[in-house]
Amino acid sequence: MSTGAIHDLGYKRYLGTRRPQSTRWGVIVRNTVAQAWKTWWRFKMALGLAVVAAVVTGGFIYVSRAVAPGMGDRVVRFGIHGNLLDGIIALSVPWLCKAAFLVGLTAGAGTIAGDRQVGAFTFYFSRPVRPIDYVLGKFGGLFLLQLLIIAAPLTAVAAFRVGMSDSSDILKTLPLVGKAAITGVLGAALYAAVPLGLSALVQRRRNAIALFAVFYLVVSNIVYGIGIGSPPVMAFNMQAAVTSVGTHLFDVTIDPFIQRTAPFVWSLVAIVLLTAGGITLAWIQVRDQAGHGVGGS
Amino acid sequence: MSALIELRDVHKRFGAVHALRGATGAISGRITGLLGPNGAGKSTLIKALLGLVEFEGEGTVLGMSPKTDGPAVRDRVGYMPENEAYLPGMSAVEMCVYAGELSGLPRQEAMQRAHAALYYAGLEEKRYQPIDGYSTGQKQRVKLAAALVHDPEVLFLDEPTNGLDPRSREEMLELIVDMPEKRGCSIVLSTHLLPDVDRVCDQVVIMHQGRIRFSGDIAKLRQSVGGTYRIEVKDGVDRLVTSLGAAGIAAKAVSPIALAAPLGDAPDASIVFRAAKDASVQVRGFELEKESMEAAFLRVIGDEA
Repeated sequence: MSTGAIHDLGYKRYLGTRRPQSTRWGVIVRNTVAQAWKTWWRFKMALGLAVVAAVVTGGFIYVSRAVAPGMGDRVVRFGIHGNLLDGIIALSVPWLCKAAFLVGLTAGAGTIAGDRQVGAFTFYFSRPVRPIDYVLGKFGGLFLLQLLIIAAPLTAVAAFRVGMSDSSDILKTLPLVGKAAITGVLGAALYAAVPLGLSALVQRRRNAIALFAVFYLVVSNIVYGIGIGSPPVMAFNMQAAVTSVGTHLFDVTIDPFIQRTAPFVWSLVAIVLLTAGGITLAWIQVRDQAGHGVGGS
Repeated sequence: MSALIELRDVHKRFGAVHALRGATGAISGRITGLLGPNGAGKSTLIKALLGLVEFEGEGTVLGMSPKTDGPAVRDRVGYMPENEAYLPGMSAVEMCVYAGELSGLPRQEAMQRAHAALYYAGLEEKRYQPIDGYSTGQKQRVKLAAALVHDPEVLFLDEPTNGLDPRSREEMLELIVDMPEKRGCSIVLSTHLLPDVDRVCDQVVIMHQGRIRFSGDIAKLRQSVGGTYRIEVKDGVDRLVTSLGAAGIAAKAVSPIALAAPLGDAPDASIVFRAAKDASVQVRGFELEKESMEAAFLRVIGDEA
C-alpha cells in the first residue's frame, strides 16, 4: 500500500432497529434548529430583538399597572380601545413580527434554495428521505424558531400581565395566556411557511432572500395600501394578519393611525391560506427536484 | 448466491428521451464496474435503483423493489455522489452523524459510526473542521464516509476518483478494494476511468444507448487477441524468434525480454519450450495476451452502435 494502513476501529454490522420512516423528518427539524442556533446573525439577533420587545412591553404593563392600579375596565387611551394592558400586549405583536421577518430572512428564505445551490438535495434524497419528510422537517425547524420569536415572548408577556392582576382578576385574565399562545402559534406558522415556500422557487440562496424581502417589504405593503380601502385584502399582509388576530382575541381595537387591522375571519383565512400555500409550494418544488443531482446529472 | 441487483426489461423515458431501453441484467459481484459513454443511461439506472425515478419493467435491489420500497432500499444502500453534496457550515462529524440519523440510526449509534467511518476514510484529524475548507480529496473522503455511515450492504460510488491527484486516487482505490472485506458491502463503481475498473473490479456492466450490453466477469469481457501469447525470457529474444520461426510460428519481439507468438486458441505449449531449449533461452513468463479494457469496451459498445 502506498499510504500505510487503512484505519479501522473494528467494524460490526448494525443489527439494531432503525428509526421509523415516518419520524425521520424530526431529525431534519433538529438539524434546522441547530444550524440556525450556530451563528449569532441567523437567529440570536432576532431573538434578542424579540426579547427586547417583550421586556419593553412588560415594562409598559408594569408601569401602567403601578400608575393606575384599577385599570381593568374598557378605556380609550393611547389609541387603544379596551383594556389598556391587553392593548399593550397586542401592540407588541407588530414588533415581534419584525423579529420574525428577520428570522425569515436569515434562516427561512435561504433554506431550500441554499440546499439546492450546494447540492444538498443529493445528500438528502440519496438517503431514505422523502420530499415530504424534507419539507416537514424544514418547516418544523423554522416553526420552532418562530415560536421562540413570536409565541414565547407573547405568552410570557401575557403571563406577566396575568401575574400583575389583582388576585380577584387572575381567573378572569388567565385566558389571555392561551389567546397569546394561539396568536403566537399562528404567527409562527405563517412566518415559517411563507419564506420556506418562496425559498423553493429559486436556486440560489441570495436570490431567495431577496425574493422574500421584496415580497414582505414591497408586495405586502402594496397589499396593505389596497387594504386601507378594502380591509379584507389587508389580511394578506402578514404582519397585519397576525396583529389583527391578536387584537381580536385580546378584545381591543387600536386606532388606525397606530396600527391598521384586518377583519378577524379574513385574517384567519389569510394565515391558513398563506401557510398552506407556502408548504404546498415547497413540497411541489422539492418533489420535482428531489432526484436531480443523483447519478451525476 | 442470488444477485444483489436484478433488472428485467427496464424502461425509462424523459419526454422524448428514451434513457433506459429494456435494460436487463444482474449484478452480484464484490466490486462491479458500471461503464458506459455519456448518455448511456448510467445515471438514470442509479436513480431508478435508488427509487428516485419511476420506471417500467422489473427491478430489485437486495430483493426489494425500488418502485415500491424506495426509502427501504436506501436504508440498506449507500450512495457517494460525483458532485459536491455537503452541507455548508457543518463539520465532517456533524454531517456524517446527520447522514446516519437520516438513515434511521439512533443518535448514539450514528455518532459512533460517524467517527469510525471518518477514521476509516482517513479523516480522523480534520473531522471537526468545517467541510467548506477541505481539499477536493478530503471532500471525496467525507462523501465516502457519509455514504458508509449507515452500514449499507450495497454501495454506489459515482466517479469516486474524479479530480483527485495521483496519490489521493491511489488511496481512494485502496479503500474501494478494502471495503467489501472490511465493511461487508458490495460496491457498484460508476466511472469513465477504465484503468480504475481494471484495477479494482471483478465484474463489469457495460451500458450503451439505454441497454446493458455486457454483464459479467472482467476476465470474460477481455477476449484473447487472435490466440497470441506473450512469452517473457531472461535474454535471447532474437534466438527464440528464429527458433520458433523454424517450428513454423511467426513470432516477433515486442521488447528486449518479450515476444508475441500467435499460437492459436488451443496451443501446444511444448512447441514453445522445445524451441526455447533449442535456442538455449530461459522462459520466464507465458500467458495468453488479452485485449485491453479500452479495446474490450469499444468492441462491446461498438457491436450495436
